[in-house]
Amino acid sequence: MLHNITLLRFIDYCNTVILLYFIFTNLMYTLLMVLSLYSVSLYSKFASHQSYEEIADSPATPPVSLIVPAYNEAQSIVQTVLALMSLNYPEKEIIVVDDGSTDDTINVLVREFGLLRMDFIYRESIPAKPPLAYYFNPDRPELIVMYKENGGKSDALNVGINMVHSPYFCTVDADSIIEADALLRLMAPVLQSSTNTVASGGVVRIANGCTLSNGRITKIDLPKKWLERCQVVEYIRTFLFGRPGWNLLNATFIASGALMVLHTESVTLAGGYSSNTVTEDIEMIATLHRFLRARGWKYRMVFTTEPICWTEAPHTVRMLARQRRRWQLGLMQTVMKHNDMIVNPTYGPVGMLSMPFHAYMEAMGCLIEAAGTILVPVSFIIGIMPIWLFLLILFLAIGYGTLLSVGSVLLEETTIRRYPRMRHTLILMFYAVIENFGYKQMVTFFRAHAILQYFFGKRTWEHVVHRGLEPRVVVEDYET
Amino acid sequence: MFLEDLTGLVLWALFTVIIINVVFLIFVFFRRVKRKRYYKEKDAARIRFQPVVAELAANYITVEEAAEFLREAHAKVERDAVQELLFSAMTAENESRISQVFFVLGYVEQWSKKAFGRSRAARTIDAALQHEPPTTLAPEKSALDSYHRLRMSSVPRAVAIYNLGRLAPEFSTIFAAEALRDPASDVRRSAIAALGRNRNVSAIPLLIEELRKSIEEHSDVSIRSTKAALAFYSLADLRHFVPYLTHPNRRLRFFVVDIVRDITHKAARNTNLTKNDFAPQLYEIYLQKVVNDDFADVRARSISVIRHFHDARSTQALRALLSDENEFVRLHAVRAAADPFYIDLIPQITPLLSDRKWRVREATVRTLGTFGNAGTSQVYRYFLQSKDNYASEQIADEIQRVGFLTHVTDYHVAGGEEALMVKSVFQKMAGMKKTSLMNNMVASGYAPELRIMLMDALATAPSAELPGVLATIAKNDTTEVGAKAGSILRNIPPPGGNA
Repeated sequence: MLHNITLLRFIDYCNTVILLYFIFTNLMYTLLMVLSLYSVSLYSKFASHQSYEEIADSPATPPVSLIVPAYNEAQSIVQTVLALMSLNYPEKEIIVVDDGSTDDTINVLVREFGLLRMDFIYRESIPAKPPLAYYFNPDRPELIVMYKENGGKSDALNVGINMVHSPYFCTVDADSIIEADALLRLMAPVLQSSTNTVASGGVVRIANGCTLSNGRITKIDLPKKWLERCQVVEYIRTFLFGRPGWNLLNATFIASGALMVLHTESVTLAGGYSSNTVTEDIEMIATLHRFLRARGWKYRMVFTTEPICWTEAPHTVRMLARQRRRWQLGLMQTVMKHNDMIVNPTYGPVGMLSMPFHAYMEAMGCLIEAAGTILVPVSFIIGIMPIWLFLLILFLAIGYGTLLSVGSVLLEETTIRRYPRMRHTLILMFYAVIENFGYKQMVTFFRAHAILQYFFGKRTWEHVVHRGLEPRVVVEDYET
Repeated sequence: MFLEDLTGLVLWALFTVIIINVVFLIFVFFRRVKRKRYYKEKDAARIRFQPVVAELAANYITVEEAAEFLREAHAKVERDAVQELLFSAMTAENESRISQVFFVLGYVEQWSKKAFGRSRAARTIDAALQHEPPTTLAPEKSALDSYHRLRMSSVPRAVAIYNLGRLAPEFSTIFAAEALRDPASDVRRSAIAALGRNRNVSAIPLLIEELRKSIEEHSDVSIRSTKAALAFYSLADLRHFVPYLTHPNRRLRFFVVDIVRDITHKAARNTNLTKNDFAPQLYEIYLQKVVNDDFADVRARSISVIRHFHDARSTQALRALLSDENEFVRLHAVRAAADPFYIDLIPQITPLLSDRKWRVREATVRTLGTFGNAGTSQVYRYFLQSKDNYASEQIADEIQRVGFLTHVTDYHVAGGEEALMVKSVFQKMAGMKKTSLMNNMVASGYAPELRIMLMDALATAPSAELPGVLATIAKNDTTEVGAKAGSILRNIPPPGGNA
């Protein structure tokens, strides 16, 4: 009897925590939604009156180095490099770092671009496994390819930074499809800022379902599978309702490394990419905040709300689970590594707002969400949870979630509007509602699994296998 | 009772969310329909007004005649269509007349009111119509400045300034100059971009003043924005920059020199410049003062302009700067000398192959490469004589990167001393373990004599890859090249074995 009372009290306590968690997260998401609405709508209004051509033609526009770390990307690397070569930007160099691929990555590059193996000087500013071979074509001096022993994405990026000659560099995922004006869009706020802009990121979209030609999206369409459609909605919500809000608060903590411009000198002085997390892009942002705040240097990070690149989303639940576990593990590693920044006024809005939110809500909050997904219905069924509490949690966890998702699709429709047909918008609206019934909970369990793995000592990268994006994004299961 | 109420409340909240979602859906649907209708009407308006705009643009009808017809555009969609048509028809020849139409049709008044408010708008429009010279007054402090700096308030003003900035320069300069008083950086940036785009020489002092503010007063408009605007000016406008080349603030001097360099660089893309393309006063000040500036960065940037003078004085100036004490000056000087006109400077350039700064060494190899065989021979000779490992490494790096090695056939064909020199270069590179490219060349389709020579050079210091390369050639090539590969292969000691 005593045991039962203790158990009931414990469940009651858990349910209270779950309720408070959902109230707090929804308040935060609402705040971010309002800030993002403000930011995105003003940006899209002004962006239509900005001429990127002026930046492209201006001799005052600084050169940018594009670093492409590649591991077993034989299928997509040529398309990626071709897309980068045709980027609308006045002066750029492309540095491909083959991180010890076991497939034909280096050979396809050599064949396609007529590269010759050469022996170059390597000057190490950031410690990394040095390149074993360099490939270069004097007739295409904007491209240099390096081959090195496998050391992970961070190590490959550090090797690339050591070869950079430009004041800014841009990280590019080898499987991404870059928009022609992407670099101009990322560099425009950098050039317009009177403060040193150390990082500039933008919106990443899902390419599944779209048609590709010569490394460019030629027809935008939605994927056919429910899993990919839910991810499309999820990306829209994350990129339009989360990051612009944090950017407005000057508290950017997450920026996608799929395409991100960084200030070379700041990154080099901060020690480059760290190899002890699996999400090097998040870790780099935290490192830059820490390094620059500690020195009292003025800086800013910007987020462009226009799509800049398209990426291939996982096609199967198994691959999605791997991807989300990796992201969650990386987030957890980063917030734990930089935990002294949490609620630390030295780090300004990042320390006081963004870091606590990402540590307690985004990183560890999934444990509460996962527990709530099981505990709340069970408590209700066995009769220890009143119906009002059950409905309230249901409202906060699902009902309000649909509002945020539908709202993000609405924001996309009223501002950026990349999906051209009415059918697309209606499908997105539909999935914005139904992703809250099953998909979200599934992802929560993947994330919670990653946190448990972290506490049990797992630190390794789970590789996500893609089907490739050429010529049309393939939506079949990669295992078939 | 309270709990029952709470249940009802939650149900209501759920219901409200569903209703809001449905409202969102309906909104999206109607917005799509409205947009479709808007563009349909806009297309119709374009078809209707396009002939008149075309006639106005071609000067077949007067401003008054065009305005009379275009006044029929009342609805917002029609006015939007007319605005787009007029802007897209604008050229240097008709921009003044088209701008006048914007005045007559009330567009300018509408944008000015949005940008400056009612009273300032009227004053500014008068000034624009009377072609008053642009001036910037100090910004007026207002209690509403904080509000005006908010983006929700400043973006519509910035958009209005963007539109005003697209008018003919004699009008737009006044509006843009007035907008420089705005407290919001978005608006001022828009004005600065407009001033640059229109290249009105009367705006140069205003833009330089904005540059000074960015440098000295840490203005919230970036230096790059102002620099980019000034870089829009052309070579013919450069004489207006002369007074600022001796400004007491050395950072401002540096940026002005850098802007002149950008403008010159842009002009030189399409034509080979000479001193006659530059204003005499600019030519003189560059060769007398700028080149001797006490700020090294100014001296460094000055060379990129001086190189385009292409005369004895520019050669003399370059010669002096090639031995400047500052590394950046030397770097810019050696880069600037990459022009066949300066071939006489080879004796001054060559010693920089052993400069203590690697970027200077790198630039030196590239510059010598632009002089053809006369330059590359110097590189090879220096490479062979050099005992400096850093310099040798750098030269080896660059002769691969610039493509010297892949074009050695010329030397080989020339025979004699030249061919021997190339052979020595290959041998030294093999000794430095820079063999990847040579291995590649041996395995490729170069002339048999060259491949044999390369094999000999590579055999002097065999790399780990060489036996594999030679084995493949020996197996697949039945000519003398294959036989040579086989004979060298037999003489190469096995890995780890005694020589």
